[in-house]
Amino acid sequence: MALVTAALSVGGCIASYRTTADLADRACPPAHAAPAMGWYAPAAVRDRGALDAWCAGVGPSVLDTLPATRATTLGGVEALRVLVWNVSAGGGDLLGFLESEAGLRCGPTRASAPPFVLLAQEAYRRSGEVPPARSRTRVSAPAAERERAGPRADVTTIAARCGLALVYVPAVRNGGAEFPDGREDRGNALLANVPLHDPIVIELPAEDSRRLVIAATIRGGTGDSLRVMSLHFTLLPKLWRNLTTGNAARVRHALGMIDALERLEADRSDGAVGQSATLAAGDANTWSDDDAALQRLRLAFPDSPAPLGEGTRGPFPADHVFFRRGNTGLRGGGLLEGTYRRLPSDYNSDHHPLVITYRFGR
Amino acid sequence: MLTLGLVVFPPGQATAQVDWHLWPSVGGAALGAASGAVVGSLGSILPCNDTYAGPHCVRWVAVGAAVVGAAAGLAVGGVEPDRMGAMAVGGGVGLAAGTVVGLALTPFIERWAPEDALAVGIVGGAIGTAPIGAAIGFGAGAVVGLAVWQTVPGFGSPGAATVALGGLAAGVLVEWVIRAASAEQSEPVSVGFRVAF
Repeated sequence: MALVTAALSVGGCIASYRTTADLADRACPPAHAAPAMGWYAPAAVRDRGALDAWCAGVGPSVLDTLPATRATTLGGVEALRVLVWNVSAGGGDLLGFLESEAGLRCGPTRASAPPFVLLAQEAYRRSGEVPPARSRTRVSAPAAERERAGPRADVTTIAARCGLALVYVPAVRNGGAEFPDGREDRGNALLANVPLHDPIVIELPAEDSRRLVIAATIRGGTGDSLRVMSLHFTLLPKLWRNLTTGNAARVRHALGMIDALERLEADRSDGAVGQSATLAAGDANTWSDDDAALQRLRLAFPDSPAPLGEGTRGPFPADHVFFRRGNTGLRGGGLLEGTYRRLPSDYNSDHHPLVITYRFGR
Repeated sequence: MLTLGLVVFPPGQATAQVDWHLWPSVGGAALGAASGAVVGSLGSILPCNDTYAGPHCVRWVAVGAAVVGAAAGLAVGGVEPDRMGAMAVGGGVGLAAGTVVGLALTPFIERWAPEDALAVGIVGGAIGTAPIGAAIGFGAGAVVGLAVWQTVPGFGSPGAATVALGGLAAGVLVEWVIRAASAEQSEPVSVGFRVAF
């Protein structure tokens, strides 16, 4: 009984969320997997061991940072449409979404479209490069997908068909099934018809499974730039952990992401932080706009748009956009007023997409 | 402080010298602290989730509820060991029943581990120490929560769950306090203070 009391009384202490770029003792990701990516991971040994077990089940990251089909205003990008969507693996109609919302025409005859980037979560990939599960590999259940008509194409296939730049970093195996053409993993993705620079992966502290934030920088036509981050936080940790930490899982994820962002900016700017305009968005898996993790993120991203006040996953406001101008001053860009909204169609995913427009500075 | 005073010195006992049963009072304090901490944590997770403090808020509530439970348990165990024993048995039954339920859930919940089954058991144990208060509190909370959910736009199902779980936690703590406040000496009051083993 004393143990129970002690455990619950210290519950609410937020375990370490600090990150590091030192991956020397990690079994996963393998050093050769993505040499061109910046990589930040939790510093705590406990987290690193747990994340290794999940990571062992996924294939290599995909980096194809130059789009084959350029945006209509290439060379002078002034405004960037940012789409945010949890695609629910193969459940969401990603191809239909891109054609409808980004104005793309994919296939043998492609059409240019205004500049956009999609910050996707739960994108899936089927590939022979996804390794077979070994005894200590953690394998996630497949994402719950709604039935739909039409082909079920993975994110790499769709990016190639539409001529898009792609950064795809798998987080976990998408079920243990073996298919004739390989196995499946799922994770975060950035798809864009503009070049994606300086790709970065942030592994979030281990809670229920392996969760990621991935980032890249998009340069405007006048030298201004915007860092975009696709985030995916945990829904609920295990009951024991939830009770003994006071439901700290998402707060840990938010603090881990903020810590990694500060480190990567320090690494890239001689110690100064807050340099670049940054837009972070994705599935925070929250059931309230006032979630403690969201409040922490709004402090770190003080120029964030006000919550929409409507659900993106059923009645729950799971998906959000955060923004900070950085130290770009008056010349820096900003979010265009009145452009932040939830799209009415969910395109067969269990999440509605969000959209917002960023205007680059002069 | 009024509450603590009430449960440590129940009405009718404060001015009389009573047999004080040391070990039952220690056990009662431990059981009350554990029960309070568990229901305090359970009942505060949802409302605290919507505060900046978040997990820290849960800890503060859990510690506060543990203090109330410990004080109540101290009084019940010290004055009325038999009642404390009955509450401990109820806690044991709840622990066992909860653990069985938790184990039965294992095939149906992804990544459900033995410690999660034990967590269900611990919640069951906390409720088992004060089942009447838990039932009344949860029932009242559920009714109020559902009514508000259906009538106040934006309240939502999380709001209803918040009120129901808050009612459960409050019910358990109130039953502990009532039992402490109504604890009575089962034998004639002795002259002088002595410690019974």
